[in-house]
Amino acid sequence: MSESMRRLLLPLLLLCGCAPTSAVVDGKTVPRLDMDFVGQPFVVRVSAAHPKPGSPSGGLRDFGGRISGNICGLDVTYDVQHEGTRTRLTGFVDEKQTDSRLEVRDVDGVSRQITGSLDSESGTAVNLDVRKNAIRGNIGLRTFDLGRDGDRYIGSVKVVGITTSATINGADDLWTLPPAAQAVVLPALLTCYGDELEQNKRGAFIVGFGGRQTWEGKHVSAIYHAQTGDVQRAMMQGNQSSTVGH
Amino acid sequence: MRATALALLLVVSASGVARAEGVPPPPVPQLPDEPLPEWHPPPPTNRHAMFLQMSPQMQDAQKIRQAGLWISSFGWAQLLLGGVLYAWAADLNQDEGSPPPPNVPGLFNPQLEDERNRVLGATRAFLTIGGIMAAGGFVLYTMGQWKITSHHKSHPSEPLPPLSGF
Repeated sequence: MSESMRRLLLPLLLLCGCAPTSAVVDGKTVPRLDMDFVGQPFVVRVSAAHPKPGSPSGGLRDFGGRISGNICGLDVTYDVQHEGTRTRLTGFVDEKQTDSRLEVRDVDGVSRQITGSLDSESGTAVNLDVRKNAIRGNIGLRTFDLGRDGDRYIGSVKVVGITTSATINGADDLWTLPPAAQAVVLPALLTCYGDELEQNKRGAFIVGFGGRQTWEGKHVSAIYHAQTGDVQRAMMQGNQSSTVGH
Repeated sequence: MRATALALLLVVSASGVARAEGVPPPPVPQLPDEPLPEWHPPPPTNRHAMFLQMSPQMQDAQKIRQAGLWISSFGWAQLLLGGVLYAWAADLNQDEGSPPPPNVPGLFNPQLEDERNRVLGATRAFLTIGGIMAAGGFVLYTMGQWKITSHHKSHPSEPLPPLSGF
């Protein structure tokens, strides 16, 4: 490595290693937040989060901390950046070579739209419309249509070759996650049980927020089950929807 | 020939249908839109988030296996100590029967017998406890290994503990 490269890289590394520990809120310096969130099956830690991020499209421009953990057997790590009209997340999922890029923004104060790519290697595009009373959209080749029923969202998930029941428990707990954490957890969680749904075309989809933490093994996510014959055929036909929600 | 092909096609398609076993989805509740809730930091809780490299089942099995190894190791160490003590007791017994040169041959020495009995008692205790611990530890280790094996068979893609045998 040349001397000039070394001179350039050293300050960069030092800069990356030192995340800010405080943020300015209403003119006051406030310590950043570290929070843990659990569910079925996930655990994430939000480190150095902005103490008052508001809406992801609320105009804040600041570093939003880091989010890391395990969601349905996927090891995830993301950097969060608030960019005024949207919140951008860049990170990695498992040992994948390609990075994961997600964006979250609010539309009309009633719809939180999470878009991007969970894993570009397997082509798992994310297109979710999350509302207080509904969750609709696509994760890869899965299409979800859920409505709120008390403290859960119920409805259907359409996977290639099968339409089955889908339930997300802990609807209230979902809204205790900051928007950036929602954008990390929800898409990864909605890829759960690929070994059952994509691989064996059976079972129901049940995940949850809050409550008792559960654990799922590696390679259970649908991003590892995109190589089945049906999925490949569907991808060839290009029947993946590109619209959000309705 | 055509009939056979048709029958085969029917069987294949029927098996294909039987393969898909989704649960019929419930009707989707249709509620009107509401404003998105404003986010507030959740109050601190005593709940512990577990950031694990292995599944809890695998961790439990590994703990059982490690406990078995430790207990068995102590057991074998006690058996070794028991063996040493037994050799000492045998030596004392020999001295009691035919004392070394400065002592008078054939003279009974009660102190030597007491010492031999104490050492023999300790030998018995060490051998018994050591044997139980060695055997118990081995059983625990085998149980942990069996749990690891059975969990690995049902979840082959999960990470394994070191020296798991797979």
